[in-house]
Amino acid sequence: MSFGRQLAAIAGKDLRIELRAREILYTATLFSVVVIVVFLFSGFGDSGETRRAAPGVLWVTIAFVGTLVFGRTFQREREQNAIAGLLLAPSIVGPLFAAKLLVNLALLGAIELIVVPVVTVTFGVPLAAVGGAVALVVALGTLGFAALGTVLAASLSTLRLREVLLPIVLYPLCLPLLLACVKATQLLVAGDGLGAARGWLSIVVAFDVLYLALSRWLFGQALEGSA
Amino acid sequence: MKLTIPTLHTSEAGGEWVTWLAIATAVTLTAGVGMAFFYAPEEATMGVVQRIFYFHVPSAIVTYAGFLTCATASVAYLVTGSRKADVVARAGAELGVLFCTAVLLSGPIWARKAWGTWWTGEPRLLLTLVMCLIFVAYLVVRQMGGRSEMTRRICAVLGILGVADIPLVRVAVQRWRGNHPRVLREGGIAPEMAHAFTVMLLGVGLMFLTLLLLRIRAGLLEEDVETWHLQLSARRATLDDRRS
Repeated sequence: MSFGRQLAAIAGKDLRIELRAREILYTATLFSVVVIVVFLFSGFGDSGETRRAAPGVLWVTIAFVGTLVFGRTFQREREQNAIAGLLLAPSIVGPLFAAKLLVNLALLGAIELIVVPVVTVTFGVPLAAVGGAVALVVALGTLGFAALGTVLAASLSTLRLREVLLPIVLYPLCLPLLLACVKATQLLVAGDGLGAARGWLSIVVAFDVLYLALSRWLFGQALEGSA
Repeated sequence: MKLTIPTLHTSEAGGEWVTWLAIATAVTLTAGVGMAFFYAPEEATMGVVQRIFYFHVPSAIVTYAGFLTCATASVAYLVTGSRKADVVARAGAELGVLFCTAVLLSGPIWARKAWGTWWTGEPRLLLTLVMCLIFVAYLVVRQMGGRSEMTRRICAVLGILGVADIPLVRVAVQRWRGNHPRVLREGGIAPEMAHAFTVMLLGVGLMFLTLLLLRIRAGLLEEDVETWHLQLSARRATLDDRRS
C-alpha cells in the first residue's frame, strides 16, 4: 500500500471511531470551557487587564486540552495491543506518524474552534478585528505542539502512569513554542497587527519545522520496541 | 540449566583510577574553596556574596556536560542498543539535574544581593529552570517506567528531545532582554579571581567526572544484579517444576 493509502486508512479509522463515540471531542471541549471559566474566576480586574491575560489563558487551555487529546488517540492503539498488528504492515511508521498527527490536529483544531471564540469573547478581545491573525498563530502553534505531543504520547503509552507523565514531559519540552505563541498572540490582541508579530511568528514556524523533524525521527525509534 | 554468575563490571567503568580521580578531586576542590574564600579579593560592591560565583558558574558548566552526556549516550543507545550506553545516559541526566539544582539554589542567593530579588523573569534563569524540569521529568519517567527495554527507549527519546530543546528555549527566552552578569567576557575581573575560578572549575569538573564514573559503575552493577536475579528466578522455576 502506498504512503497515502496507509495514512488515509489509519486516520480514517481513528476519525470514524471518534465520530461514532465522540468521547474525546465532548469531554475535551467541556474540559476546555471549564478551564476558561476557572480562569475567569481567578480575579482579573478591569477589561484592560482581562484582555492582557487572554493570550496566556488561551494557550494554557490549549496546552491542557492537548494532553487529553494526544494521550487518548494513541491509547486506542494500545488497548488489546492493536499497535502490534499495525506494526506488522511494511513501512508503516511514516504513515502511522502522519495519521496520528493529522487526527490529533483535527481533534484539537475542532476544539480550538470553540476555545478561541470563547476566550476572546469572555476576555473582551475584539474577535472580528484580530480573529483571522489569532487563528493563524493558533494553527501554526498547534502544529508543532501536536507533533511533539504525538511522539510523546506514543512513547509513554506503554507506561502505567502515562496520563500523569505526558503533561510532566510535554510542557517543559514545548515551553519555547508556547512562549513564542503567547508572545505573538499578545502582540495581535494588543492591536499591533501581523507585522509586529512577524518576529515571533517566524520563531513559531522554525520551531514547528524542528519539532516535526525530530518527532518524525524519534517516533520510529520509540515504536521499534513495540512490534 | 546452568547458572552463570555475571562478571562484575567494576573494572569497566574507570577501574582503579577512579580512586586517583577522587583524590585529585578532593585536592583540587579543597584548594579551590580555599582560594575562593581566602585568596581571591572581596568584590567591591557585592561583598562576600560575589564568592558564590566560584561555585555557581562551574556548576552551570558541568550541568551542560551532564545533559550532553545524556543525549550523546541516548543516541548511542538507540543506534546500538547497548545497555552500557543506557547506563551512561542515566548517569549523565542524574548528574545534570544534581548540578542544575546547585545552580538554581546558589543563583537566587546571589540575585537577592545583586538585583534585590530572589527570582526574576531573566532569560538564563528561565532557561536553567526549564532545562532542569525537562530532565527531572526524564528521571521521573525512568523511575516510574521500571527497567523494561521500552522504558530505556522512551528515555533515550526524551534525552535527545531534551537537549535538542535547550537551544530553542534559549532563543525563546532571550527575546526578552536579560541582565545576567557577563564579567568574564568584559574582562572585568581581578587576576586572583580568575585563578580561583579556574581552580574551582577544574575541581568541579573533576568531581563531575568522578561521580559520573562511580554512577556508571553502580549502574552496571545494578544491571548485573538484575541479570543474576532473573537467572535465579528462572532456575528456581525449573527446580519447582522438577519437584512437582
